[in-house]
Formats: sequence, C-alpha cells, structure tokens
Amino acid sequence: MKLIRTIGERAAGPLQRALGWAEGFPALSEWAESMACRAVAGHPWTTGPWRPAADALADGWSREHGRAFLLERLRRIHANAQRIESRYRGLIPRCATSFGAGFPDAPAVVRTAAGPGGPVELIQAQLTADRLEQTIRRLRGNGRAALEKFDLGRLLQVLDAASREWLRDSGDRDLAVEAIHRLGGFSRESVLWSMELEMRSSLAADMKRALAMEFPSLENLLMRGEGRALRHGPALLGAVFSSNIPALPHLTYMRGLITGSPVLGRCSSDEPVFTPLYLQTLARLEPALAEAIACAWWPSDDAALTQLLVSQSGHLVVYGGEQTIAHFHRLIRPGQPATFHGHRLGVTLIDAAQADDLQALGFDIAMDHCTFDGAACLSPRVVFVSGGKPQTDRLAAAIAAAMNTISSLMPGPLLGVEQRARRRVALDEWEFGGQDFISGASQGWVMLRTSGEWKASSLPGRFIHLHDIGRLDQALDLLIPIQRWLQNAALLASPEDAPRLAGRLAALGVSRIVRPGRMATPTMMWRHDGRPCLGDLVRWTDIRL
Amino acid sequence: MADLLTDARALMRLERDLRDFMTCGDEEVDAGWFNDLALRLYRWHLEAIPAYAAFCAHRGAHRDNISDWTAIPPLPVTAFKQASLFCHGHERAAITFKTSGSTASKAGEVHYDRTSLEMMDLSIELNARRWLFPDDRRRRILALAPSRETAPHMIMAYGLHKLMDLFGTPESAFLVGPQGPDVSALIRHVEEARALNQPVALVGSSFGYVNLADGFAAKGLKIPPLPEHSLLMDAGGYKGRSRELPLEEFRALIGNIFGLTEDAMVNLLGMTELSSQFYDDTLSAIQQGKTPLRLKQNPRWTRTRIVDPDDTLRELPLGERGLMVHVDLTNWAHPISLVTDDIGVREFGGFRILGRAAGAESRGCSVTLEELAPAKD
Repeated sequence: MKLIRTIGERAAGPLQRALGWAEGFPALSEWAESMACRAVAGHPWTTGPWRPAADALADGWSREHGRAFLLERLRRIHANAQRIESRYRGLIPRCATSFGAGFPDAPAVVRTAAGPGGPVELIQAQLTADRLEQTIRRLRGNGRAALEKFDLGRLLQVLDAASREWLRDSGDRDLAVEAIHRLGGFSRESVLWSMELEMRSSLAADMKRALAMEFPSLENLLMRGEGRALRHGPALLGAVFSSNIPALPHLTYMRGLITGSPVLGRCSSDEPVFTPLYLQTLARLEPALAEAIACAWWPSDDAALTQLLVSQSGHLVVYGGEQTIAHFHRLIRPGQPATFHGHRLGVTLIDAAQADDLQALGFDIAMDHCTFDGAACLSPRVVFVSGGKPQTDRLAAAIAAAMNTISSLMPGPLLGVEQRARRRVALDEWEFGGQDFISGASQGWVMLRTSGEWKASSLPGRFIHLHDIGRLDQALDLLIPIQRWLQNAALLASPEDAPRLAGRLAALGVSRIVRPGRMATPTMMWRHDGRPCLGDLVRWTDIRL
Repeated sequence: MADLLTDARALMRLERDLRDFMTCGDEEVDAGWFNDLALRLYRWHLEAIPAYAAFCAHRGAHRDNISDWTAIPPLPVTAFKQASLFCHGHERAAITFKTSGSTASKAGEVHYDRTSLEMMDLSIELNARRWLFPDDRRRRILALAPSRETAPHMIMAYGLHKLMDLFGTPESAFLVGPQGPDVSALIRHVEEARALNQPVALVGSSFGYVNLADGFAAKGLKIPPLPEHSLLMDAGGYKGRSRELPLEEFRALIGNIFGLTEDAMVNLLGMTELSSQFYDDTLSAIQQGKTPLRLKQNPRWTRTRIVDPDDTLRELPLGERGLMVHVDLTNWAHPISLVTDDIGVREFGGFRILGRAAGAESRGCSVTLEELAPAKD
C-alpha cells in the first residue's frame, strides 16, 4: 500500500511541472484542466494507485496553476469581448426569439428592445394557440419518433459537438454575446465566461458521467430497452427559462434529448436570444433533431399560450423567482411531474487559519463572486470568516486586490440609475454609520465587512459581505432561518471540522459543498436543488419475462 | 466668522437674514445671498452637530474649505435613523417628527425647536400662497389624513393644520381617524359645501386617495361633484400602502370621482427631513393663464440638484436622470443639504420625480439575503 502511494506521489511532481509547461498552450491547458476535473470526480483513470497522483494533480493544478490559468483565460476573453464590441459598434444586432418546426411560417414582427447595454432588434413570431398546438403535436409525434431512432452514442456526439461549437468563436456566438450584453447588462466578458463554463461542463464525458451516476445501469439505457428495463422520458419536456445565467437553457435541452423527450421552452423576456441560436446549432449538426426541439418567446401574460405549454408537457421545468414558481404551481394539474428551480443562494464559510495561501484564497472567493456577477443561485451572498481579525484583514485585502484584477479583465454588470442610486444611498448610510467597507465602485464592486450581530445586506452589482465570526458552527446557526433557500456552500475548514460542518450544511439542505473558487462551476453530475436532473425525468419499466 | 455656538448675536443675525431672504418678495434674488446663508448655516451645523461634522470630515469638508453651497456634502436622509442630527439637546425640541413609510425598520426622528418651527411655518405659508392657493380664496379644507391629535409625530398632519389655520374656512376638517377615512363625513362635507357654493380643497396622501377610490368602487358609492373653484392636492406617494398608479391614471381616477379636471390638481413633494415642500406649478400657472409644466418648483430658499449617483457632488445636465439632492435653508436646526433615494430629472422650468432607488434585483433563481430577511419572522 505504501509503495502504491509512493508511486502516486512521485508521479504528482512531474505531472504538475508538465501542467505548468502546458499553461501557454490552450489545448494542453484544457486537457490538463479536464484531467484535474476527472481526478476530483473520481474518474476510473484516476483511481487505484494513481489516485494520490490524481488528487495532487487536481490540487496542484488548482492552487498553483489555477489562478494563472484563469487570468490568462480572462485576458483572452477580454480581448475577444473587445473584438465583439468593435464588430457591433454602430450596429443593432438582430436576433430571432423562436426556433422550431412550424414557427418559421408564423408571421413575425421586429421589435427594438432597449436594454441597459443598448438596443437589440428582436424578430418575434406572432404565435397563436393554434400554431403552438401544431408545433407541440409535431414535437410529440415526429420529434419523439426521430429521437427513438437515435442511438444514444450519436446523440451524445451531437450534443458534444454543439457544446464545442459554442466554445469557439463564431458569428452566432458573437451575436448571442452582444445581444445578451445589451439586453441583460452583463459585460460581454461575463457572457463569454458564463458560456465557457456552461459549455465546458457539457461535453460528452460529462454527460456520460452524469448518466452513469444517475442510472444504475448505463448499459440498459444504451441498449434502449433490450435489457431488463425500459426507460421513458416525458412525451414532451416543457421548460420556462430565466435570464440570470447566460447560456443555461441548453442544459434542459440536453437532458430532455438524452431521456428521449422532445423539448419546448419559453424564452425569458429579458434574454430570448441564446436558446434559438443554440437550437439552430443542434439542427445544423443533426437535421433530424430539428423536429424534436423548439423554443419561443411570448408575453408572460398570454395565459392561453402558457397554459398550452403547461398542459401539454409530460414534465415541466421552471426557472424563476418565487412569484413565477407560485404561478406555475397553480397552473400544473394534480400529479403532473414538474421541477421548480426557484430562489436559492450560496454561502461561503472560511476558517482563515486553514488558508496556507491567503492570496490564492482571496482570488478564489473573488472569482466565486464575479462569475455570473454573483446573480446565480450558486453564488455566495455572504462569507463567514473565523480565524481572528488580523487574518481576516489580510484575507479582505486579498479579496479586494483580486476583485480589482478580475474586474479589470471581466467588468461587472451595467447598472441603471436606480440601481446606482440604491448603491449610493447604502454606501452613504454605511459611511455615516461608520461601517467598514471598501468601495471599488469605479471597478463596479463593493465589499462590506461586519462583525457581531449579523444583518443581511445586499447591493446591486458585485457585492461581497465578509462577516467575522468566532466559530463556523455559529454561522450555521445563523443560516437556520433561511435554510430552505440554501443551495451551494464553499467550505474551508480544518480536516477535523470539515466533515462535521459539511454534515450540518447538508442537514440544512445545501445541495452542493465545494471548496472556495468552485462555487460557480458545477458539473453535469450536480444534483440541482438536490434532485437527480435526469433521473427525475425518467419513468422505468421493469421487464421480468 | 464668529463661532455661532457661542455668539448668540451672530445666530440672531443669521435668523433675521434668513427671514429677510425668504420674505424679500423679489424672485430674482442674488445667488450670492443664498450662498452666504447656506454657508453660515452649514458652519453652524458643523459646530453644533457632532455626527454631521464627523460625516463631513470623512468627506474632507471642513468649516473653511467650502465656499460654495454646491460643495456641502449631502447627508443621506437615512442618517436620521442612525443618530441625532439636532443642533441642540433634545430638551430644546418643541416637537419631534418621525419618518415613516420607508423599508427600513427603524423610524428616524427630526427634532424642531421653536425657531425651526417658525421657519417651517413661514415656508409653508409662503409656499402655499404661491403654489396651492394662488387665487387667495378661502376654501373648506378637507384633509384625507390624520389630525395632529391622531398622529402627533406626522409632519404632514402638522403642515395640514397650518394650511387650515391660514387658508381654510372654519368648517375645514380632518376626515381620517383611528378607524380610517370617514367616508360619510366626506360626503356630508361635500354636500354642505355644494349647498353653500363654498369651494373645497381636498388634501391628502396619494395612497389615501387611491384607497378611497377603490373603496368607492367596491361599495358602489358616488360623491357629488365638488363646487366651483375646488382643488385637490396629493402628497407622499404610495409607500406600498395602496396599489400604485401612473400619474395620468391617478389624475383620471381621482378627477372622475370628484368631478375635477387635472388643472385643479396639484402634487406636493414633502419629506419629514425637509422643512419646505415642493409643489408643481399647475394651479399657479392656471391662475396666471399659462400652460402648466407640471414640474416641481423650488421656493427661493431651496435648491434641488439632480446628481450622478456615483458622485453626489456632480450635477447632471438637463434631462438626465439621477439622485435628488435638496438644499433647504429652512432646515434651521438640522443639516440643510440632504440626498434622498428619489430618482429625478431636471427640465426647463422645474424638476420631476421619476421613482426611487431600486434594490439588488432577484433574477431568475437567484435571490438576495436582504430580500429573505423579512421571511425570518
């Protein structure tokens, strides 16, 4: 056993050096990162005697190369964003808000939407209940039939190829980036980074791992009923999307198609442009899929179309806030399968005494706050720090430095005057009250530091709330009143404390616990809201002939 | 300059000069006069209000390095919830008004001594004479708001009492008690006024009118049209206490109920933290045979600046939306320059309120902790 461990440890050094060498080469870096991810995920290649090496590889990659790697990625993204900006300077991007068999025949109007980042022309199909019903019939008939003929391996290849296309520069991606930036106020860099994270975790290997994890016997699925069980996805997977994370709706399409279900999504009013472009990619790569995928935007108060989507869906997936979720809860029929991704939030718990490199930890925490501009259900809303004031002071300085660095490469969101006014009012109030805060407002972020009694705070834009606490267990007590909204936690604690704290977080309902810096990068294996994303869609038939 | 805290004569001179400035009758007063008074008040407040002095010092503003009223650091109105901002000890307070209607849990307190109240009274009178009752006609003032007895700490109740004393007929009345609005009393008053052909001035909060209208609609009640020369003033916005209506809809709804055109309606912006109020120009313009701009007007002892939220000393050009900073020289015993959470815009001939600062939005599945805080209870 000792010998095996030694082999692994010996392997770690050269591998880490190789990774350092690979840093300047994107393809190698991506390979190295995927290897590191595999190591974390316990991939078969990284078990057995290689496990220590794999762990060291993952740790080493993340700690020693992760920061440099990420900064290099952000530099490239920044340059890319500038290219896109210059491409669309003086132009108004024009985007479709629907895709699907039957929709091209619908009369369309072009509407100019004025977002915080500028105007976008939206081509809106004028949908009627009849037309939507026709499309739904086609999805449930032709679409499902087309999927039945698909070999799962081929499907994964297509989905993988689509993700890879969206990882590369293209006209469609530029268009989506510019339109999402203008409509949603995200910086172009934030959109690009979000797309990269989403698509990089949506490759074939990730899908296979998710399938292997959620279905006890992948072979059964691959053999499509010739084994001991049949699986049925819904006849139609309906979806209602939100706009807080760019390039997220693709996951619902991937999950639906993998389980053999055609998918119809209603695009968000604030971001109706990505989904049609993504579906175009899928249809171009595999024309037969065009019969099984559709999306459209219609006004949220068009009750007839919304009711049609709900009533015709074998399973409904809804992203949105409390009001949206409550609305769709009322619309579904009793017993109708549905998944609601409602309001959730993340927290970070740090025992600063456990940080061997505060600069790296500060960078990780800053990255968790900058990705998705802190506006995802995964994003941290408060950082509880124990370990004494001097250490916390140093950590705060490290976070501030990292926020400046990251924000210079990936700016925060565009804020409207109402939001900037809200920020000003809060900052003035904190200044008058002698609160300890750092305003990198010119860089678009603010960090509030508090101790003693904890009071929830929030600000528009990137906002970090660092709260000093005696022991991390106390922080968990503070979270009890809001436990039903907890989603994601970053935890850095001693090896003695970590299992207990993780257990308590799990008992509070947290669905994902990671180390700082990883909050925004779940894999497809993550059980969103603690539920199996694929497994929930599928009904099984056991055959005992 | 003499130390105003220890030189009572200097303070008396300041008080006299301020009264002269307010009552001089000349609309085109020298800008230097306003500046001089603003700086003298600012310096006194620095001496007399330690919390304000600390705030200004943090901004690098001291007694002698400010030479223009626009450079006086605007204090956030929420500061009144955090500290005493009164020039004297609390024992000198003749009356204390409390802020209300904000999302913060703790109410702020604004203390007024005798001189402060006199300044506010003068401001109320001069302002109302010009913008609310420009025809100098006495009216039966019917307040859809609580009286001072019912709401002793409500600045609006105080101001409405003053209006009744100065401009109302003896029949003027408050029509909101502890049980809410007295609708039957309102109808009776209107019928009496119609019988006497006595003009009515309805005054009250915007949300009070909307709730009244909703109540009328629900119960199928109708009210006779108000007599000729009647008018309506609304103030205070909605504060989440009724459904919110765009201005045009509000005017149409209320005008329909009381039989008034929009030319007989005026809106007022008032705040507990300010001793002066801002009317729009509707009634004054109509009286002069002009087309009203329906923009808020600054009495000469006030200034309103629309500023960049990222730099509250930078005034924005006409037409650009920003935060509102008010400077009110009648804030005798508390800071004169205040930044609010109102969003406004300056146009030719006045300013307009457009909304309020917005919080960190919930988007999609994301939510802020602050939004969840009330759910703890």
